[in-house]
Amino acid sequence: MVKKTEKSKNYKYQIMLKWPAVCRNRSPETLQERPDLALQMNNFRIKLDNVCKLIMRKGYRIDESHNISGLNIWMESGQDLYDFIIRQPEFDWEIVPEIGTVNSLTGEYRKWQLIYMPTGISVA
Amino acid sequence: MTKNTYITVVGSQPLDFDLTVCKRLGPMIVAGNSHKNTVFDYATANSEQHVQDMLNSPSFRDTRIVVHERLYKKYIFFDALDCVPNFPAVNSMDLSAAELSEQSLALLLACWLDIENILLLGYDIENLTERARLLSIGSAHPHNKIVYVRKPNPNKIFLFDKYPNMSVTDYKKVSEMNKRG
Repeated sequence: MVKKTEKSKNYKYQIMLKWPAVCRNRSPETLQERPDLALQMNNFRIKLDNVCKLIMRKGYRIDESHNISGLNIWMESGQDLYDFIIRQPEFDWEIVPEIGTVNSLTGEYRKWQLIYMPTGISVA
Repeated sequence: MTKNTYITVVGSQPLDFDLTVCKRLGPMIVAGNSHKNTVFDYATANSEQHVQDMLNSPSFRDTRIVVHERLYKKYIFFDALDCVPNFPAVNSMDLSAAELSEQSLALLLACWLDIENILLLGYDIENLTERARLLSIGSAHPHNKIVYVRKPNPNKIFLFDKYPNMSVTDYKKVSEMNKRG
């Protein structure tokens, strides 16, 4: 049972952070044979979690399930997502240029294309 | 949790009525950035100025702001905003949500929320386009009872006579309804 004092989290935004280049698109079999890659991916996840702890003002969740392209991150706040995208060069990581949102009214999950422009970012 | 049987749509026309009465009846939707002295559950906006004003107004802090897709894309990083759901009635009118007024969007949202009785306050029916759209939305949602609420007035309105799910009442009757619970 959920404690009454515990505020339920509503992760509205989703974004995917790509694995380091050498770890991308590796099958589970390859990862079993290459423990160095698995370790690098694990360290990458730990680094991401530490950075998120530092920069996120509201709640976030890193998906536990494995994806060959990268790590799925869910966020409660749009401001946190914006900061996360804008601060990419600072942490030297690469984001899949797509934002997922969950509509609070309908519960519908929808993807939006992220476009980088000299003046900032926009969504299409 | 009990299901509400009333929802109030507040248009941008000036109101001479205490909205706390409606607040007790169920959720409220406001069209645009008017009536800033009341806290609403939902608001609809179709212009950038209104969205910006709402985001900067303390009275809209806990309000879910519903906007059409083009505006949503521009303000996607603001948590309070959500994109309009797909309204089948809009497609049947051969329009897009971006072409509709804030009050029409608010009424469509009320119908979409599937609450039986919809009270319309401060709703503009003098504008002929708005009037025609109100009637179209009403006939597209026969399961909703749409009640146009106005100042007590002895002159009758015959506008809704052909529509079994639409009627007219006045502020007094809404207050009495609220007292009866």
